[in-house]
Amino acid sequence: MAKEKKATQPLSTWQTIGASVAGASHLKTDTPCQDAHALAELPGGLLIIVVSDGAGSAPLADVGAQTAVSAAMEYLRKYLPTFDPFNESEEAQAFLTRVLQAARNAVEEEAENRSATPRELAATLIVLAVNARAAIAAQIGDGASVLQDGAGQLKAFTAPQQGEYVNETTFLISPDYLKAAQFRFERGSFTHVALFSDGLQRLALKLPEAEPHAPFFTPLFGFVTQASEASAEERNQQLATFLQSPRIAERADDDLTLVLAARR
Amino acid sequence: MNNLADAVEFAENPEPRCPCVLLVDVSGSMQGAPIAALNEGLRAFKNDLARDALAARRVEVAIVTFGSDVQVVQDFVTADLFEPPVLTAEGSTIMGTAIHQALDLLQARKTQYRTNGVAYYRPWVFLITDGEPQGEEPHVIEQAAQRIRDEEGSKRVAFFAVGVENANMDRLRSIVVRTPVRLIGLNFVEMFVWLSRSTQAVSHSKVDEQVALPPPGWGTV
Repeated sequence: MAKEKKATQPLSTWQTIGASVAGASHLKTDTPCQDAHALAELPGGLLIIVVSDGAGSAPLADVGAQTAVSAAMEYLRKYLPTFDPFNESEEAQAFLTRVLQAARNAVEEEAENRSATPRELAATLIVLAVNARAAIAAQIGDGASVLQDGAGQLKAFTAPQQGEYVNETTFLISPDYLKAAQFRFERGSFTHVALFSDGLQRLALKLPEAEPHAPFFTPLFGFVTQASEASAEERNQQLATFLQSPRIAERADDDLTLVLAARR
Repeated sequence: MNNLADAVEFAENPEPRCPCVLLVDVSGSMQGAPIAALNEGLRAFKNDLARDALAARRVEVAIVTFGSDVQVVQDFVTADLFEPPVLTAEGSTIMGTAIHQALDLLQARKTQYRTNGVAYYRPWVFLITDGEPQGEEPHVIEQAAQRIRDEEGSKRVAFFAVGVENANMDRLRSIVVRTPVRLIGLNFVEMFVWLSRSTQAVSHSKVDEQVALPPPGWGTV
């Protein structure tokens, strides 16, 4: 099940593509894609991206991921332009904390509506916003976000967060979610942004240092910027096709989400 | 878009590992049909894991046997490189010493993983016996049982026990935390195929540690 974000408005400052696709292991067991993502450009060249990865073991993980993404997006759209938390780290963290709380509340509410426990809707969450002056991000669980600056320098903005074992992570519904969350603030004008779920992190990052692998990102960022007559939907579909290509399936069998953005 | 698939190169990270120690009773009572069935089961284990390309690179197998002595018959090796040994049976049943050896082996392996930046899953020990501890001082098995309780409690290991034929199931229950399973007949092939499928499920899991294991059709609780 490929789910792409449709561009609903003409984007002026940023070119973006994004796709979430079900991994090989999910196709084998007929489990739906449990990743979700959304992105939008707000006035003033303000780009927001949200990615969530539902826990494989949670029966309503897909619902949890979608609920978390929608709630975070709604909060960002509503309050980000007013608060403009791009000046210093504490103010960014305070704002991002409220985004995470809003997403968590929405997931708890959705669980209650469905007479389920929040645990059944377990999902990770990555929230990132960037304007011309700075980038801010928060992350609970694994997956990562990567920034590239005007000099072409790549850096992991948020990094995979794991316990001792590779299949343990923290979720939005975890009791200590705010303590476990990563909050990031960085001044600068960033030209490229990537967010991805944990299914791609072993291909996109050198672990455990979480150093972005340039031969992975450079062609993808090139693809976002390259002139194309294809519609936004077609380009998202092209990205989905890439994520489902045999070379990737061989190395990663989990659900995959990749969102890419490039400043025009 | 084919161009993109060709253009993008992946970071080379070692595959995460899912270590599994088979702790096998090769005391005298296992001679004959039981050990032959177990050897056949080991081959089935290898063949079944080999069918899953990703699991074959992630599941690591080690075999520790115990009779009158404890032997590391197979140190950790990924399933694709695992050559099932042919085990022979004789002697007593120094299970406690063997449990310590298995847990030591796992500890050393985890240290190697960490040193080399290899991610890993919670390790498994799979104890297979047809009897009860014999031929060692009582405190050895008591300490081994305590160690299993500690390591299960701190999630350092998942320790499973399988009783074959006349195994003393009550005694096994007093040693391991998880309920031991009694093998139906000498159905080792089915048991090892189940073990293979279960480790495959774990080695494909990503975001949470709770993996539902398929129900064991080869045993009774």
